[in-house]
Amino acid sequence: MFTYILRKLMYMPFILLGVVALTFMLFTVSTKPEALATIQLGEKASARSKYEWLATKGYVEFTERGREKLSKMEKQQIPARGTMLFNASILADLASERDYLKSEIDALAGEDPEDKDVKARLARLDLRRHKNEVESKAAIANARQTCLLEKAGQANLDAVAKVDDLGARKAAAQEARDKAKAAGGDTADLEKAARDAAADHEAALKEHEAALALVSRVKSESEKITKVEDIEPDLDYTNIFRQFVNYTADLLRLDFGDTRQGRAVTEVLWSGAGPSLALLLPAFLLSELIALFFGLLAAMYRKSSMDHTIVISSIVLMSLNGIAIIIAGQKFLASDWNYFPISGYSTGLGATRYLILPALLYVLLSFGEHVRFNRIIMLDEVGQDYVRTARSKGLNENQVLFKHVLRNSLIPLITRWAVAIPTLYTGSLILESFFGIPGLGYLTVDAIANSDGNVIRAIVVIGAVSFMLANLLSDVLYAVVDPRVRLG
Amino acid sequence: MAPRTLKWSPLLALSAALALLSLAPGCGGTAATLSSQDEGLVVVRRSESGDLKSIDPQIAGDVISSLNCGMCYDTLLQYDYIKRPAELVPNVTTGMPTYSEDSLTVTFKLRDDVFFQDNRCFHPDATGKTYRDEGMGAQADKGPGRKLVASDFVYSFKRLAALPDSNGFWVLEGMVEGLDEFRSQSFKLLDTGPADDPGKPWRDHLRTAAVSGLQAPDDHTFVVKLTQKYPQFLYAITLSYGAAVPYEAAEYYRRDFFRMPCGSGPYILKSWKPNWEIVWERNPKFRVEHFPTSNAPEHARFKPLMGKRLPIADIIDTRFIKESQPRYLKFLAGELDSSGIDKDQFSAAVTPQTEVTPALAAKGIYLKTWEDPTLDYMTFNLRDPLVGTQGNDPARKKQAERARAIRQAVSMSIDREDYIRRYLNGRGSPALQLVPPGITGYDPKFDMTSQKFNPAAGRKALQAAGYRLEGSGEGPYRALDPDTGQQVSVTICLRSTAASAFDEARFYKASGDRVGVQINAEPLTFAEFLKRQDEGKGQAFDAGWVMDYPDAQNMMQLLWGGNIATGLNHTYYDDPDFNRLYERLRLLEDSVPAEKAEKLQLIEQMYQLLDRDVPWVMINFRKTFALYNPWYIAPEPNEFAYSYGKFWYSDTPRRTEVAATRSETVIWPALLLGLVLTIPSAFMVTRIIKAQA
Repeated sequence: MFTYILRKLMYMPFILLGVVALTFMLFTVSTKPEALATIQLGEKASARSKYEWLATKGYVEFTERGREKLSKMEKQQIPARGTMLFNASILADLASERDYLKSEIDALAGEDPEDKDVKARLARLDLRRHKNEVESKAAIANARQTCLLEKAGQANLDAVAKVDDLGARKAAAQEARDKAKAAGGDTADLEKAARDAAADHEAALKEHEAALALVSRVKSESEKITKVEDIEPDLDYTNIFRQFVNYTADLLRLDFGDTRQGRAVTEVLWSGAGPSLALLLPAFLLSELIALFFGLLAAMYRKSSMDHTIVISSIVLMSLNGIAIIIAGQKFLASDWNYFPISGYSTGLGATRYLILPALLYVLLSFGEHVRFNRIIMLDEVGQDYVRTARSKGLNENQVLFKHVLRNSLIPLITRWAVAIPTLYTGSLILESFFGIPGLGYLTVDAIANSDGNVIRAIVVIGAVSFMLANLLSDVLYAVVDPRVRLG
Repeated sequence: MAPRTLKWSPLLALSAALALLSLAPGCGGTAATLSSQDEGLVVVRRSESGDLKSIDPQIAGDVISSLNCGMCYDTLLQYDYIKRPAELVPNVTTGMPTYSEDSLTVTFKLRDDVFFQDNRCFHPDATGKTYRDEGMGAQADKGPGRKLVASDFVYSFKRLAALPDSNGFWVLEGMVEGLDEFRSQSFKLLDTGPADDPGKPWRDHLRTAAVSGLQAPDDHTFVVKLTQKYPQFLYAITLSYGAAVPYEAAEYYRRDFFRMPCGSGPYILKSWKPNWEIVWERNPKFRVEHFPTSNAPEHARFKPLMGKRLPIADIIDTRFIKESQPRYLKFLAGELDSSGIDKDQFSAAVTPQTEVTPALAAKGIYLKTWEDPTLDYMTFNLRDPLVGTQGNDPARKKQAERARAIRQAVSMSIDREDYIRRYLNGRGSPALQLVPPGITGYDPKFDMTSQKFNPAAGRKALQAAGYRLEGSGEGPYRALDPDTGQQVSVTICLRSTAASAFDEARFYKASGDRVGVQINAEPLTFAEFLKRQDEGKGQAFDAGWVMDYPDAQNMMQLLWGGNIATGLNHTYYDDPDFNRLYERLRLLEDSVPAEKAEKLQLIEQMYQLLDRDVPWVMINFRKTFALYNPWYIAPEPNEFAYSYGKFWYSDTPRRTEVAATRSETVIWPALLLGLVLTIPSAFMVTRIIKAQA
């Protein structure tokens, strides 16, 4: 048996590595780092804040160019709000999508353009191409603007805007004057306005001549950015293998990190496991005991009115919606009739009064399924030869049931318990939610909804380990309850 | 079959135990138990539907966290408790701040009588140590809290910039001289110290580095130098992000500071059990401050409190109860002073005439409703080729017209009144403009035509853009693309997978049928929703915006082109005229009459542009309904304020009296249940005895 256990334990690291790889893949595929940053920093956080946060967490790495850009933002040489940071992977995606769409559209060129399917496919591809164009254009425009801002500075851009504005005013004034002249009206005022506008424009031009010269030099440089490939990236995602190694190393050190609120994950799990176990361990034992009792009774009095009553009750309870039972139980037993507290929790023995109602409801919710399962396995055993032999030897029914039938039914029961025990620590989400029990059930779902990767990772890994241990325990118990089972 | 005999039966004992269990009431009566604990104290008992994340003011970004930070920490200014519309008044300052001529230098003068609470971090023995060194055991030995000085605000504003996990830096980003540079420098110092204290360089930098825009020339003067005119600055720093924390506490508690608060506010943390409850108790060193007085009839309920010293309540006990049923039942049982109303309980609590039902009225429960500065809307992705083509590119002009027609048709297909009636139980008002009622900039004459329910006009817009329409009368209609012959189809991403999201999906679909647009809704988890929104993968998104402060700029910024890069403008609306108007609007102050008039003009012009382009479908402004037990004086609502805990009052002796009458045990169901369980038990026992015989 010892060798068997040792061998099983040796498999565990490989299984665990599989679990770790799976969770890692799920995280990287399901949630992009930018979304994680938005969840952490809120929707109002700037792109710069998000990328800086991702860099501190090791998700992205800034290029030399990115660091330079950040430094200019700090010195307010380019605006902190409104300047984009370019991610190499996203730029690459834009370029490859563009090429792919082009090739697809070219491939369709040889097809019948009047064909309805071809038309529809072309329309869909065109929509995607347009989206790609819009996104690429926006990126290029921002890159050009950043290039201008970085090299010519905001002041010079303002100069361009001023000159443009005065130029437009001058043109408008001259146009108005020319129109009035053509119509043969009095143009003295308009002449004056046009002259003033021209003078203003001239003054602005002179005042900003130097600035304009610089801007025009930089402008031509910025206009060289014509496609996404010309944009120099500011950052890129960290190599995925490096991320995986970091991820695994943390697990090996049993360092699950902090929750999004900054609490240590182990502490959160520890504080939640107590209430969850306080509710579910007694509830589980009680429900199993009751289910065993009624399962045995139904099997013993098979096809009698008692058997029918138990089976029908089980089916009725299985048919009722679990949440409806909880809502009704809480409303009537706690609120209307005041037998139990409505919800809440307390430390130490004070918790008992808060746990009785949810535990009873757990028993009620699991009653039907467990009794029916137990009845079936007991019935299988009751018809066996050894039961007839035991009875013919003169053993009373009590001995037959509890000493022989129950013991031989334990193998499937142990299998079911082995599956159920590891789930006990994660608690019962609905019961915990309705009864305000600060256990792990809600924590788990909350973590999933908020993409709290550290908590999910910890729960998945602990779940995997406890499942493996429970499996091992069940193997050992098989050998204990059934001498025919040999481990090895 | 062999004879079946049982000589003894554990089964018998179990059945008897089951029957007895039903007769074991008496575990209830929580309200009465709590009331006995409250003797001689003023205790406010309330609940929250979500969990508290942090009590670190520079981290707290959500409403629950901000409310709890407001219990313990002070911001420079606060909102007047009873004056409406919401107005800022001094909190720890001697008066309102003064501005330099160019409006770029703001000077605050601090009061002399504000002290931090007594705390371990101020004890001489704690110098150089941390909470993790000493543990909980040492916490009882406190040091006297020191006076709050101007450098505490310098430290706190710097801390807001230096914390990488803070989601509040947006309030100061790019606005304070030298602060952005300080932030980047801080990030570079993260975890660069020795192995035994990697955070030391970061902490030292935070405490000692000078920021030119944040100065404390003396203990009572705090000066902020802005980089540009920022009229919303005072509102922004009245959010919890602007609260003062003592550096001693931040350095002593470090990673645990988010749960070990130490401020100068009205309350001290007594206990916080995550997912369970938080209890605040009166800060005995809280400065002298009194409940404001008013003779206005609408403030008559506060008469018994006027002039009383703050904080009013001794204890504020908040339970975190996620499910609406137990929250409501606890309120009815008298365990909570107030309650929101969930959709499921609405008809049992409120009549169609917006009054409490007779059953609740008989218990003395009363209702209060108020407008919430929150807009629910749908935003189109203007980078989507179907619904979003914009700009004057001649090659895409036709496409842009079609996209605009689709947006207009979708907007006009939505019967906002019906939506509010069906899905919000009437808790809202149709939104036909961006700025909510009660905020400068709201005016019924600004209502946009494109946002009014008018399916016929929506259909007309589609036809004018070239779509072929099939259907007649009330519909359903089908708008067909002239090129492909396929029906126009728009997908909206919803930010929830709850049952209500599916109701919403059905509503949108039925709305689209009125104009011929097939509206599909895609309910997503919040994380997935954010991902899709960030990546711009979606044609339209369901959205909501809770205003941070009472300034129309807070709403208009969501459509400013400059906010595309920051991620705030998820619509990707980038209209040069709108941008120009916004850039002027953000510099105008409501308090200056000439600027206010100009602001209203600008808002009207901006609405004209939005009416033309329809980047959003505005749905509703929210309205809050809350129930109060008779012993509780309903607070004056102000959704921008997070420091109102000190004004709350609950008549605790009256609660004890009334709660006792509401928690009487009813015996007959237990007897009936006992009987129901005893009969089959007796039947089983008889059967077993017979078998034995």
